[in-house]
Amino acid sequence: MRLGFLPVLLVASADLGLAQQTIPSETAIAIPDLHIADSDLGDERKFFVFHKVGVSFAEARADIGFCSRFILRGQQRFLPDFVAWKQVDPANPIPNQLNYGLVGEVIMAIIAPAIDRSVRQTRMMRCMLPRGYARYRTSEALWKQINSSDLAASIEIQARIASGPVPPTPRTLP
Amino acid sequence: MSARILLAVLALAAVVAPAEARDTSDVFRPIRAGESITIRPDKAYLLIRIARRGTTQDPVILREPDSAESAAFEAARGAAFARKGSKGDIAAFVFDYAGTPNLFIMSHGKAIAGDKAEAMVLAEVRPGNYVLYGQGYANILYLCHCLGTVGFDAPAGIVTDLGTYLSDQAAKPSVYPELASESNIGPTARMDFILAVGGLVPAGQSASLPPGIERTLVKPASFHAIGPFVDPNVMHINRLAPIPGVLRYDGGKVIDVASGKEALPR
Repeated sequence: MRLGFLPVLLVASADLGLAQQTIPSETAIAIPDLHIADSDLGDERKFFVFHKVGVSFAEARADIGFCSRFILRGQQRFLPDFVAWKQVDPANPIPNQLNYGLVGEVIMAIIAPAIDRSVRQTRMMRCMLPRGYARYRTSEALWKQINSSDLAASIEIQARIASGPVPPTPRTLP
Repeated sequence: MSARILLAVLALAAVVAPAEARDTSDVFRPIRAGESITIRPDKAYLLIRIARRGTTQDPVILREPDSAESAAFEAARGAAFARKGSKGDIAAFVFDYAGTPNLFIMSHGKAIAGDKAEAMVLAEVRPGNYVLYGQGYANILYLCHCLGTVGFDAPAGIVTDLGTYLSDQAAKPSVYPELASESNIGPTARMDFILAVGGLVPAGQSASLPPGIERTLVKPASFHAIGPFVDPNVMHINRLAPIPGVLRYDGGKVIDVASGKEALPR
């Protein structure tokens, strides 16, 4: 097939390599102030943080990192097409932990136009909720702060929030 | 199909140049109403019913390629990626692949039989192992079942009955009770592009068949669970609804009910 130019819908590509970086300690990551005035809360469909009572920082980091595998969005696929289906290697499974090689252009998925942000948020929600996480409302400004251009750092801070005290803002259901 | 999904489809279609007509009937050919049916010993046949009370999106299937096919594709993709300047991530790179495709949509618009409640699609395909990959409309893969789905074998000379595919919106309660656990998840699933949900009801031994098909040639599919996989080239991701006796979930883990084992991510 031939594809036309998709100025808005075609977003983001990423370096999904496996380069290892130094993992910061949990205590080195400060939890931002999650107290947000009602008047500053953003669209509840889009601006939220994940939290799970009793989850450890390491578990939260693994869950958020795993689900971040799915936020990359490239060109739309049209049918018929070909997919190079990879077989599972039980001796070398995909680790349920943060891929510290997630860098570079994947950040476009985070800072891209709102339409892409909504798709990203839907994907994260769909992946995280079955893992037992709840969502709590936040402001657009704080959301952008914890979803910065540094994806690895963003995952760390979101894991701190997810494993920390219950956020004081209203919960978004379900 | 809902109006908002239709808008999304139109938005996508509007910016897509017409695909070059390619004859892929050797690997995927829907058999249309009124066509005489001959079950060839070198072909496999997939039969699926598409319920039409929900979003009526169509199931998308993937034939697992062999290593030679994948190697040929990877080589062609690498060359095309280089020609485009190697910008971005090759994993998300889409190009016009001239090789044999393995991802197809079983469109209710090409049904062999049906009515307002259900369309029945019969396709002649290459024998092999298949995956219920996702759902779409027209020639668009809208959603992948990337968070969990099922696979099945399609042997030669047999009509493999996949049962009935269900699709609906995830944001509101579904018209299908089989989708209850995956739907009514709220307004985040109803933003710019509506999140859909899919389910499958396996066929019973006495399921209705299209005219011209002998029941002795039909066998219900034997399904197994498929773990999470990544496809960046879709609008949304979701998981296939649980299927009693076949597919269940333990948190984010995909469980093959028959074996009791986790279907690992890939």
